[in-house]
Amino acid sequence: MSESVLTHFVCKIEGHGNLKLNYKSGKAKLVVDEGERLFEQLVLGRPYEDAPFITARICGICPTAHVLASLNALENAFGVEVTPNIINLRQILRAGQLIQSHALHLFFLALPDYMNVANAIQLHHENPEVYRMAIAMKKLGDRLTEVIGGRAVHPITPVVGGFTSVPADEQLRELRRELEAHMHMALATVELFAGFKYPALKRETEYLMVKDERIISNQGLDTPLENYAYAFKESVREGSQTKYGTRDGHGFMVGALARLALDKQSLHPKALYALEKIWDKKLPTYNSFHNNVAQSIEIVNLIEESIENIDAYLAEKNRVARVPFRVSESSGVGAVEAPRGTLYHAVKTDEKGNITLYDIVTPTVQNLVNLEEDADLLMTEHAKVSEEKLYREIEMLVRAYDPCITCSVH
Amino acid sequence: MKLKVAIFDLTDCEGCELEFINLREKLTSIAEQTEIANWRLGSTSNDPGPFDVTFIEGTPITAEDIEIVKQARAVSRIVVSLGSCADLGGVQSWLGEAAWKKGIKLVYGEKYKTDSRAPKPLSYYIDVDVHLPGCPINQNELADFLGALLAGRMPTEVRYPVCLECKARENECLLLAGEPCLGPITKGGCEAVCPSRGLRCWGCFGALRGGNTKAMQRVLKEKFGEERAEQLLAIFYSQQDEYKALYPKEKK
Repeated sequence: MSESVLTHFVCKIEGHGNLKLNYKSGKAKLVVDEGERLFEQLVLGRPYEDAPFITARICGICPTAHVLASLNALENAFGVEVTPNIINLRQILRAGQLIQSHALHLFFLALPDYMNVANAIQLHHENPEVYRMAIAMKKLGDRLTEVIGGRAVHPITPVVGGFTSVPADEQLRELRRELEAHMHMALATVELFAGFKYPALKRETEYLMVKDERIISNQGLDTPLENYAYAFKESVREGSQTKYGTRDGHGFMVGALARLALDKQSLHPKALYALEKIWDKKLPTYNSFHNNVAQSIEIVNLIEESIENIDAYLAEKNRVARVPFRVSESSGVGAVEAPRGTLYHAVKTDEKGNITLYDIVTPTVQNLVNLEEDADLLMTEHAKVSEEKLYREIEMLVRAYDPCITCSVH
Repeated sequence: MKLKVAIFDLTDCEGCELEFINLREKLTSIAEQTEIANWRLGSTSNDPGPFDVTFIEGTPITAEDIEIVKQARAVSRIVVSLGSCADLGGVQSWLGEAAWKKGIKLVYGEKYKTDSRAPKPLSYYIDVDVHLPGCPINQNELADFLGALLAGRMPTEVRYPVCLECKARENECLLLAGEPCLGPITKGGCEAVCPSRGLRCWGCFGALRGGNTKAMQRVLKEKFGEERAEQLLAIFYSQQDEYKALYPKEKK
């Protein structure tokens, strides 16, 4: 290794990764340093019902996203049609997942960079108001997951066909009041993150997301979910336990910023207000640091969406907690827009419903190459700043992507 | 003097560490009475030790992981295995060495090199003073443990099964309802959170010492067949003596 290559351990990200920066050639690599997990092997030969339970354990921050993607794949395989009221509850669960993950990332992992503290607990003394916001927003996300899913980490109730148990109406009415009470704080969060000065970076890239079971992009991609394996390529790199996703040899981006760029029309009124009046930027900005602001806008939108879902659920007279279904020899692909982007689960089963093949593609696997391409640009454009400052900037970039190394290895 | 605490995570989902952050308001008051000296998920400034209490989460599977836990043991007064990955080996440990090697080849290809080995619990490599199992851990059990620690007291080990906590909550028995619930032979401390929401116990707190695993195995075999019985017991128990007594040979 030449002396111009420096390796740094990246703190305050989910999992273990090292940044390798070659200051001479201006190239950055994010090397994953995590033990292998082999989750796709762990479920083989087991009955279908084990898949959501086991794959939730891939990640403690986004277990609900894994469960929902797994259920989506299995239900697509077995042709299970869940009722609208089950969909309402699942959407609230997903909202809880995104709000808690975004709040954790924004306040506990990213914010210390922009407020010059070593960790969020220091904020308790230095900026108690922001610390209160951090705790309250994290709690709101946890509460949604706890009420619907049974607990904050590794949800209990969601199963193929619906739920093992559903909350009482009064609990949902209470949740609705909590959601309304937090709107003001969610808008203040957007104000906080829109107000930070982000490093200058502009690089056009392709944004991807799944909408209505189709994979779409800002460069014309529009294909059914089942074609996910053709939409991008995953490759193995020596010395890294994760795979790296590319499209035509280039990186692409998924996550909050991609969703905001591709699906602005789904924003509810207050989220639209947050985007247009508070942040006031023209989309897409092509600055990946803005993923932080995009996450804060999503929180506002998810609060509005969850209130709608609670109202729709409570208005439904003939509710069903779980629909019956039959297992069969089949295959199915499922996807969910997880905190960090599109999460794919794909499954094949035999006639008894035992798993014969399982494939998982996580958002971080899709984002890593794009992250490195952004970092390369920073190294070229900011070559004159000190190595220490450049390193700090790239570390902030890594955190803006909110990578989940644990998930990427699975 | 403040208690000096370290939190290390190895290969795992980090969900149990997250339960620390999920203590929220309680975390703030605990943080005032302790010094969290080393925690790379939460902070950029980290101290090499010595520590009064070290929490280790995850399973050591690489040579570096094993080195980290040995060093942590050497500089810590009390070592706690936090969560089922550290305490029991976790869901990934039932594969065993041969299947692990095969799986690596299947996922990463023939050329891929690694020094990892099949996951084993922390106690396979070092002495563990306090066990906090669970997938994830129970927040109240964690808070109680931290409280005891601040009062200079060591916690007492749970000696009752999940069934006791489940009965106390007046739940309908899922095993009698035909589900393969592992409550009767699984260590309590979880407040029966899963059966209380209609999900059978998967055994994530590990086998209860002195539990009748042999009788449970017979029930599971009768109701669900030999293969399923083994799968059900393997998921969290595979590295425990109770399981090895039932299935002495490693799975191919």
